[in-house]
Amino acid sequence: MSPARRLVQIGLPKLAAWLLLAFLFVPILVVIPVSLTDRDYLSLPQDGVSLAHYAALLDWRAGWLSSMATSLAIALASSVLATAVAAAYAIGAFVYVGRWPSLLRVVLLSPLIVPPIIYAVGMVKLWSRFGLLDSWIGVTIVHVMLAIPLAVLAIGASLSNLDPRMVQAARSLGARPPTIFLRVILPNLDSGIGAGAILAFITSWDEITVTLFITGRRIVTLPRRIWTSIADSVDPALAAIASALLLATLLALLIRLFVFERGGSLSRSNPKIAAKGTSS
Amino acid sequence: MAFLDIRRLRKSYGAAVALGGVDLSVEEGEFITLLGPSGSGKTTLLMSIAGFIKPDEGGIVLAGTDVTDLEPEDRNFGLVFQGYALFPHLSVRDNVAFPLKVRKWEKRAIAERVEAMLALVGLDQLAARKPRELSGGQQQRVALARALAYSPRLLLLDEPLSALDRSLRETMQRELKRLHRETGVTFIFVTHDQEEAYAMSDRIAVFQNGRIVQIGAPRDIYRNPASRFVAGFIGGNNLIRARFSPETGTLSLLGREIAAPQHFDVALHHRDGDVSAWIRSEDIAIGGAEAGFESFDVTVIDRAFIGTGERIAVRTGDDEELALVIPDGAADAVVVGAPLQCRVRPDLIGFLLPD
Ligand SMILES: Nc1ncnc2c1ncn2[C@@H]1O[C@H](COP(=O)(O)OP(=O)(O)OP(=O)(O)O)[C@@H](O)[C@H]1O
Ligand SMILES: [Mg+2]
Repeated sequence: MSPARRLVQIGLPKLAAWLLLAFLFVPILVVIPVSLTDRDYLSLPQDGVSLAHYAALLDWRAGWLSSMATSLAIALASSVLATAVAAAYAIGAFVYVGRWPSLLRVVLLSPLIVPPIIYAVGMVKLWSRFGLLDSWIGVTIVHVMLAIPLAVLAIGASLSNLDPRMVQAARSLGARPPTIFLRVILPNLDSGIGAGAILAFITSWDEITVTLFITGRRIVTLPRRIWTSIADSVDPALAAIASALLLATLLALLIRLFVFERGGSLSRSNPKIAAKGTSS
Repeated sequence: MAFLDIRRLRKSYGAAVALGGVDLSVEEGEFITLLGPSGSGKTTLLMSIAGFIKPDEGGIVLAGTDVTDLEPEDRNFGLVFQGYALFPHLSVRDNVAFPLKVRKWEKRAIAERVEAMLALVGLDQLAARKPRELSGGQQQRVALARALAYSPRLLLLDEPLSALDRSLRETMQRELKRLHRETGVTFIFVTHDQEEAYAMSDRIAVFQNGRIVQIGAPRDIYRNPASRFVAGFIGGNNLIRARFSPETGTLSLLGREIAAPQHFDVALHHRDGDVSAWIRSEDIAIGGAEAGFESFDVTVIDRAFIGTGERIAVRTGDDEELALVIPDGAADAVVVGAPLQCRVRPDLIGFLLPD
């Protein structure tokens, strides 16, 4: 290959990839310095760095902590409920093939298709009739519904790797439905359920559109708190909270990388060890 | 009354008839094979016995008890599939222990039985492995050990060997026969491979379009196929047309006119003068007439080496194609395109009821 062609075929795509990566990193590189500013408006640090805005986050009276707690509680509850519903549906559909599961699937996945703003308007009308506006239950139900599609997709994906005959095999061996559910299907779904739970958590954690419409003074989730603080001030605490979230995500990724990947590669090398021991 | 009695079992899917009234009696400890082409209803019958398919009509009686409406988990039958359907998250040992734990056996009894089953199928060294760390043949053995661990009243096998390569299949055939002998369990085995059916079964039930068209020992079915379909399906047969002349008592076949052999039953086989007949490939030899043989002239259309000998395809004077199998070395005089003389013993020609 000539050097020129080499440059075009390998060099240019490489360059494009690096540029894209840099572009993705820009917000990160901007938001962290801004969070360390010594002024009380959004700006880059001028006469030195300050952790004042991080300190403000930890001040209960500023409202950030309580919003975080609210979001965390709603996201955890939504994640558990959405995952449970999605798992129940996916496993039911796996065991009973037929028309009902596919109809129900359209209904469960509809939040992915309906624009959130339309959904929001509808929920305001509905919740005002039931008196659920600005209530824990109202917000959690909405978040559960919004999170179900992703959980269904994640769990469905891991179920599609299962041999449907396993259920027949288990029944022929004498297992009844609870045993089949707990001992045969669930143990094979742990990764799908984990992924579904995380996706559901994230969906709820950063949901803003519908939440804006159905909450008021009582329930202030973190995205809502950020939204209002952008609307009426340009508090650098925003940058601080964004950086904090970024660091938390980074930490989670690192933990995953070092704890789970290592565990995974260990179990992957096991067969070799076992294979050496015996032959047949 | 037999151990397992299946009476007039019917099952349709819309207009498609999967089982068109099947009767079958199986003796305790028997190895019976359901043999038939694809779509002939073998799996449907097996899954009805297992309880996963509810028949539209008919009943299944096991040892005097009607089990037609029992759920699969209450039947206490073993089931082995082509895909094995092992539990991927459980080790070999735990797969085999699963049905025993479900039955709430004691820990010690479970451990003992699992050891015994793994020894029986020769997997005691691999007890700690996961199914994905095993070869196809080994997985098959786990599936067998798992389905036999609780001494089921019946073992149902749906083409369990069809995913294995030829040599492994022969090993597993022997293995299955040994397991059948040593456990004494009644085996109902599904296959569409005639040789497999011959090699393993006490009796074979031949399926065609959702019905059993013949049932009997492998030799009986091979020697006396009940219909054109069976004669064609069980392999090794040449199906030919013949014509009977009542005035002279002769048959015209293979381009010759010969005296009807003794076993030719005019009342049974004869309709409008046209007769279906079959000749096994190994019963046709090369060479001229001899005492007890009839000879006929053919043209060679193909020779093929098949290891143990040669398979030769010829065309007869009345435009029938025949295949014959001869020992290697005996075919030196055979030239493709050239004429040839063959001979056959008329008492080895079979005659069939019209379908
Ligand atoms: N769930 C079903 N819905 C509709 N038709 C079915 C269904 N199951 C089986 N059939 C039909 O019933 C007939 C018998 O099927 P079956 O699976 O019993 O055949 P088989 O003898 O096991 O064939 P193979 O050797 O290919 O496994 C076929 O014509 C098939 O198309
Ligand atoms: Mg089948």
